[in-house]
Amino acid sequence: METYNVDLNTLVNSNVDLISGRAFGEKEAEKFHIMDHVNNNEKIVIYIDDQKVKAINDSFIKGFFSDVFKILKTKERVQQIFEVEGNDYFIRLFHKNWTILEALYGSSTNPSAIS
Amino acid sequence: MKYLVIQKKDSKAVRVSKKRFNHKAKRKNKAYKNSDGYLNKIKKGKYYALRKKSIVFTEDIERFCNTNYNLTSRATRLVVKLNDDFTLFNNPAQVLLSLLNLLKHGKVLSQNPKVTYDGYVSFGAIYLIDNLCWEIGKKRKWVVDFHKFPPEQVSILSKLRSIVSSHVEDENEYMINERVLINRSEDPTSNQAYKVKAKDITDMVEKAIRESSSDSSYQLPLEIHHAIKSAIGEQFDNIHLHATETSYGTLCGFYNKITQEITILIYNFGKTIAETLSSPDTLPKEILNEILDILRNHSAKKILNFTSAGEFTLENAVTLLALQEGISSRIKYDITRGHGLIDFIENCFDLSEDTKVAIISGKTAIKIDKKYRISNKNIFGRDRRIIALNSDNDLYKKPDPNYIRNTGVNFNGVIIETTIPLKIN
Repeated sequence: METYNVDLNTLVNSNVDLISGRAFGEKEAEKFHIMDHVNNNEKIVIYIDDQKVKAINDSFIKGFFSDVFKILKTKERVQQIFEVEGNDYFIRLFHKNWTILEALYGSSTNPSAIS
Repeated sequence: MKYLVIQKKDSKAVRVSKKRFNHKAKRKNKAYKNSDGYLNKIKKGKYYALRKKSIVFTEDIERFCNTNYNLTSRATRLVVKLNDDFTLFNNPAQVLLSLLNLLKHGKVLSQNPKVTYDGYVSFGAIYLIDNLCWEIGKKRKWVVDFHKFPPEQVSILSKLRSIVSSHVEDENEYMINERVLINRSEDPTSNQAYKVKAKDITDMVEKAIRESSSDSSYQLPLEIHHAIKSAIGEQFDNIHLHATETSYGTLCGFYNKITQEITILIYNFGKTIAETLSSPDTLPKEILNEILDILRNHSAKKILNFTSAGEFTLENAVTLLALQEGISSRIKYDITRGHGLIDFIENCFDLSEDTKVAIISGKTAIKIDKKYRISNKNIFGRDRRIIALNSDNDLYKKPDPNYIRNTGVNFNGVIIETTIPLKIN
């Protein structure tokens, strides 16, 4: 299995240490060609340096993983492909949002708000 | 123009009379800037000389004033008392009414208002008032009479000047204030100014703690970064996505070095939360039916009064429903929408259970503290994080009237004040 690295540290700079925004998350997922790598069954490692990135908002994670969960449906399958390398706090944050996304997409084949 | 010449031999009384005459002659043909060219001949009160042209505020503030004009006081002198109760969290109606009256007084300028200190100054309330009332100060001399204020409070208030972007620091507090442009570029990766300000605010808190603890290497824990930036980021994301006609959001971060509390106040004009959610064709049929079912239940149980003066109105109910997980006007296009507010509330309470959040939109004021917590409930077809503001956390039951209120004052936008005690040793 090939490995593809997603470096979220590139999304911040000396004036900004927050990664935020749903639309931003969706656009970044496109920019990193996340769905292509998921479809190619590659391992994706997300790198976060807590000296550079101080906060990631939940909305960004939901935007970033929205298309991924449409295909993979469950948190378990997402965890088989995605790995988060960083502070435990960020790992817990990604897992919390994956659980929410699983509740939205996992139990339904019909992408409606009410399953 | 003829002037009387003052001569050496003139007595003091004659000199004064001549001077007075000359001044009068000089003033006679002067064009008065704010008077609309009209001199009021009736001598009455301090401002008898000029009948000033009424101030016209910005469109949003004018709308706020005009919508609520019937609520304003007719008293000639306005007195605002600052105490424990005068906060956006405890008594938003009083704060908004005072703001309204100050704006009206600023327009007609019958007498300068008086602000008296009665034990406590709530930063969020005074900031909101100061921010909007600078619209008066920009256009005419407007003096507020501060009465019985302790020196440290005078120092804070004198530095507020919230109409301009500012960064204030002294021995008691830190404040960062910014009117943030909402970047509506097609490219979402283009930078949003609020992200820079969010870093400035956490840097300010970190610096204050380094100074107070004499630990130059202190770093703010990620939990604190996350709570503060979630409060800012999720709200600006909401302005970006939902208040599509709004160009600016106002952000202020205030850190009290003594109590180690951070207050974040964000407000914007535009659609109210209930207006956004009630717009036609925004909600999927299934969600709409569930919401209507709750509203019918409220109506049948006489929880809801469908008049605007009722204790718990339709607008109050819709605003409360908008807080719940997965309820969003954009849900039709993306089922992951509708998590921002509940995520931010949860993050702040995860950090400190003494967090206080006040949400004001339209005539609705919601306050959230540790009394009613978020919990998971199976509702609208799945498990969701719910905050119903009653002891059973049940959306079908009446919420606590102390926690969701009909203020009677219609604020055409959204105000969110978050106060987080950081409890850093």
